[in-house]
Amino acid sequence: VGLNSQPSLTWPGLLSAELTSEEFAALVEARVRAMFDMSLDEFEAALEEGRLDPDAPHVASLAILIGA
Amino acid sequence: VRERALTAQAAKERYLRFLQPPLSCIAEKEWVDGPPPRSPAGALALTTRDAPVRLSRRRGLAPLLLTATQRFEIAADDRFEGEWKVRTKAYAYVVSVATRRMPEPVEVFAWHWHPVNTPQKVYPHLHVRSEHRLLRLALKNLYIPTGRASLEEVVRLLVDELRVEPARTDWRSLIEETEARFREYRTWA
Repeated sequence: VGLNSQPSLTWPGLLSAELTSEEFAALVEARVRAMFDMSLDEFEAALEEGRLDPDAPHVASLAILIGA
Repeated sequence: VRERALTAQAAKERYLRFLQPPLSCIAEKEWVDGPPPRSPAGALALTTRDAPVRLSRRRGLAPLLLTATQRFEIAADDRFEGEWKVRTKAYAYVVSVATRRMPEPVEVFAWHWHPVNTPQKVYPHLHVRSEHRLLRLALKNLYIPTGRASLEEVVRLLVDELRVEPARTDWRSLIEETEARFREYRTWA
């Protein structure tokens, strides 16, 4: 995880973290697995085939992260 | 004073730096960003490292859960020569509730804007995950139009209306400051 080197200038607080593509994919896949017990491929296919409503609870957030 | 972003990386860092205060007002959490695994090169997404974020409420009230996600890209800023900006492509701010008896999060409010995924509903909208017997329609399925929702608006609702305990005493002035900046530099509303 590569932390941005520049902290908030005005407000004390946490840094944001820039994840590698592998790290980000792992984070997203873990969330999909936890919520729907699917792999990324299965989730994406379910969206494309209309088996998942893109506005259903939890789906929109995950679809945004996946880029589906 | 406007902070110039002369590189794409500087634009992203600026964006995240101004997105941190509203999150910090309700939880000590950080944002993480990275390339969405199914998007073309150049696309980015962000979310909180831990999700959902647990939000404490005043005594006796079940905690709420917040899930915040955005997809964005970094592009040349047409308004300022040689500068870059973050352009939001989609967002979802979702408030859920869970209790000891019902530990699985149940969505209550979901502010969505995801035109790519729903080309028939390209406008920002709100889902109220509830029912109203007199309506005789599934309220939870309605796309209630909204303007472009800001994270600050969601935070204000959480604290003022839903009784979430703010994590900072100066939360209101912080979000007023970042919201003013958001309103001044956004390219659509």
